[in-house]
Amino acid sequence: MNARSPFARALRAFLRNPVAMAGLVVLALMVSASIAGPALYGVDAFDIVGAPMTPPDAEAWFGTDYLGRDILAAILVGGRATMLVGITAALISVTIGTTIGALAGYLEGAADAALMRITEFFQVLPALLFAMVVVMLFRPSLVTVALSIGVVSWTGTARLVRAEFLRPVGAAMLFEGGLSFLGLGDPNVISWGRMIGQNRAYLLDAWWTVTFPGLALFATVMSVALIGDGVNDALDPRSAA
Amino acid sequence: MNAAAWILRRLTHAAGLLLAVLVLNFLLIHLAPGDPAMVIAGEMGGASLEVMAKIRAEYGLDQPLPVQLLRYLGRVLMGDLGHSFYFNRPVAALVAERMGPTALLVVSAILVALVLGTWLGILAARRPRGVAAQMVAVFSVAGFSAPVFWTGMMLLLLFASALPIFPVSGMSDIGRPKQGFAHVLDVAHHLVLPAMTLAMVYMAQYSRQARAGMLAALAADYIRTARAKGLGERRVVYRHALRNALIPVITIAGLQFGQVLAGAVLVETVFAWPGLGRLAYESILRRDSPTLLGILLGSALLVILANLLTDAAYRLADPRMRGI
Repeated sequence: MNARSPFARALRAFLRNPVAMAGLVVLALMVSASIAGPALYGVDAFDIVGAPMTPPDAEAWFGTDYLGRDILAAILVGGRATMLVGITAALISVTIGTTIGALAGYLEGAADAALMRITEFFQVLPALLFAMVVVMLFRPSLVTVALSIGVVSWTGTARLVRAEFLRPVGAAMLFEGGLSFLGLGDPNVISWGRMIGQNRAYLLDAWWTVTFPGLALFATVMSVALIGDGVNDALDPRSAA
Repeated sequence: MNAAAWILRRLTHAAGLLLAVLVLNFLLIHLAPGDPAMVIAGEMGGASLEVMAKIRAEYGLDQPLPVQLLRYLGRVLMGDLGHSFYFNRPVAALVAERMGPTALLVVSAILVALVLGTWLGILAARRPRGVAAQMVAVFSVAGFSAPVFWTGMMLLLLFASALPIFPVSGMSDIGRPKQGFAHVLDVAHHLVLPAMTLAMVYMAQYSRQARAGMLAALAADYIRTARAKGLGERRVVYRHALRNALIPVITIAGLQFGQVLAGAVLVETVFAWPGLGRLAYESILRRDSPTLLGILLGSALLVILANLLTDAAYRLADPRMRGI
């Protein structure tokens, strides 16, 4: 065995993992499409570019929605909210979770017991329903959505370490998708979940309106999960070949 | 600890949790920006100052907060969860009526996910480097990553539209009989797609747990003993290893009941399944907060019940747990 640093060894293991690398490529593609895509594509996601529910063609590659707006243009913009909220919410969730987890492990007696009760209390409330109530009562915006996802979903993160951080990011992106799908996202911001929710009624007549935004969300979350697994394996000394 | 003392302790514990949920419900109403009287007046379509004062007196909103909390707890104990603006019915009746379909959906999804997930996990564990194991691994990540509301719609496109095998929405057909075996079949027919959609997410997670549990169990000494005394491989895997491999899977399944319930909100919305989730969606559309808070309380109650049952099942299944 070579005398290399643990970091170099882990990096090598990660770079040699084809599945993790595929995830990295897909994620890089989704992130750069979200950053540069809207300007390069040049179609405003709010503009009506054709007849409602036009199937995919040379004009609009992913077709148009129930109002005649370009689906691809909306997908390019819509990733920003999902990614931004996903990362922020996961940071909040992990910060609360690890702080409470560490405190409960360090403290003894009544304080430890109180923290365990608080954890149990949050586990009893179905996170999505809890977030729905909070967002509805406090008016939806990117900030309230990210905060409420972070506050309701930290119990799963109390024992996370290192690379596992990427799991909550994926989960938070799905969470944001669910809230937006239900109409509880920021009303001024396009997001993938919201596109699916708005076109829901036209699913059987215009499959493309729902299928493509969902594929974008699916691919992004899956790439994050694959990278996370890859990093985990690379850092795990037991999996070293 | 004997059984009676154990049950009493668990029930006290559950009651404490429920009380905490109630206090949270109460605080959420009062912490939210805006005057509740104004909200109620708004739902009524606007009101004068005089009417607002009347609403305050009627709902006790002019009393100090602790007094209001006690009154609220008193009302809930009497089974009064408030009144739905939109449905114009008591929230308690609405929630009670929708609990059955949700419980049916959630329990079927968990059972399907447990059986298929365990089977996939065993498949992957028996030949860890085989093709099947790789496919199970991919499926497990995909199941975690696919948005459940989108998966449901894709299944609708495939199995209700392209191949019209299953109905698009609802829990039963209007023309069919509403009782007897024909009704059971009708509901089962409507249940397949929503339950599969919901099961898919958890099947993926349980297959991971089952695989890990099975790998650990198959490496244990008692498995070597079982093989050494000449037992068939099938018997070794399903009789000896499975029992211990299942413990972590059941732990996860019990803990996740609340999450599955939340997933049901999205699935019910997609398939127009008449449960708590669909009710939650409808009450969001109408900004009907008493109903939404009632649903939060009802679902917390279901989760507490599920946790009690999981604990009891443990105590029965594993004698080592009885000391705790």
